[in-house]
Amino acid sequence: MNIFEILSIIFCLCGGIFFLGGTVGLIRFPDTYSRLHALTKADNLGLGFTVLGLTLVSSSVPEILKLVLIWTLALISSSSACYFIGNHMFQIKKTVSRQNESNF
Amino acid sequence: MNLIFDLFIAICLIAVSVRIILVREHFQTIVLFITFGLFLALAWTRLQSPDIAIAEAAVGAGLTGVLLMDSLGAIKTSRKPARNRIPLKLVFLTIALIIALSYSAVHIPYDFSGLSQAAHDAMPASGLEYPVTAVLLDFRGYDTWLELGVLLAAVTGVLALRRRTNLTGSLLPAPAEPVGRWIIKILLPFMVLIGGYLLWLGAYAPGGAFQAGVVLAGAGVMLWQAGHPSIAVLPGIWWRILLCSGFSAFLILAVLSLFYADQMLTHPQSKAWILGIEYAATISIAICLVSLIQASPGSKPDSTIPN
Repeated sequence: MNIFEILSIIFCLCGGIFFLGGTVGLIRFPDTYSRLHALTKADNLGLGFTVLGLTLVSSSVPEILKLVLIWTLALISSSSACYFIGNHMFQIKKTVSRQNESNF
Repeated sequence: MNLIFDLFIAICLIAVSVRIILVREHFQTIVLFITFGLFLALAWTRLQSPDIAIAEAAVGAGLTGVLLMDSLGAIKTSRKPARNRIPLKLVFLTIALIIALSYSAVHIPYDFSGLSQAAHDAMPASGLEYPVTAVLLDFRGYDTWLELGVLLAAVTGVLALRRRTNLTGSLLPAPAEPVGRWIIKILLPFMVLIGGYLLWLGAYAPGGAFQAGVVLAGAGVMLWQAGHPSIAVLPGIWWRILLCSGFSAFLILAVLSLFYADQMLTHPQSKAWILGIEYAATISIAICLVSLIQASPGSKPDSTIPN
């Protein structure tokens, strides 16, 4: 087992820890915003460490490029999805608070 | 290790499907349905059928999810749906089906290879390198033809039900925020590229018309959801031609082959024909799927009376 394989295992385990943490956060955190925070952390860092670990043991350059491309696309979509959900929650809260104001 | 993973997927599939039946709220059911599609895609990957896995992930988890969410927004059920009981008859029927299926599964001979050997032997005749694509478009072209026909019939049915003769006017309001426009700008070229890549890949690796068509359909749906005109900008006549291009390509091939061969759908220049059919099928699948979603009940019908 050479140094690359050991490093790869360490990075993949790091990624797994982030995924686990993100999942626990998704279940246990109290509101939407903090849950989103946990979820995007898992997506970015968990997948990032896993990809980093896999690139260390991959055999060819195209394979590495594909792995990095997967991570980049996941970053783009997870950050945008996070924004969409967060914005939706913000709009709902704004409407609810406006309704409450008009009631009193 | 692999056995543990397989068992995990199998148990998850059963658990999720039981939840789908028992959950009472529609939104949860849809989310579970999408989850089920993802697990199914994983199961297909483990069964070494990446073609079906890609199609399942894209259609079962992706586009069906969009369709169901769209319909949920349209039907607006009451907050408390009725408590649904599972009829006893259905339970017995399911158990009987499970027993029958397990019985037949146990009796499959261990070294049963089906027709895969025959397909491998006939590969040189098709001019392709990947057996799945050869079976789909050459050896069993009839099946694929009728599949495209089913898709076309579904779109025609939805359009007839919604009393739509075109898709113009089904534009959603464009979002004011910049992130939606930004993600479209980044992802759209990628999706077109990946669609083309999958289509080309079909000749020698997992991929092909259906997978490529679904990816392009995803791009079309994304455009539409973000308030951009996607296939509604096509002139009506072109939209209709492209809608049935896959089916008609097969039809033309079937008719032409009657002139120089004694059997339908046989062709001397396999590769050129297959490529042509594959392109037509990809476009037609993409347009059909986007039309299905754009004409679904969630989208507002156009105010103009269809002529």
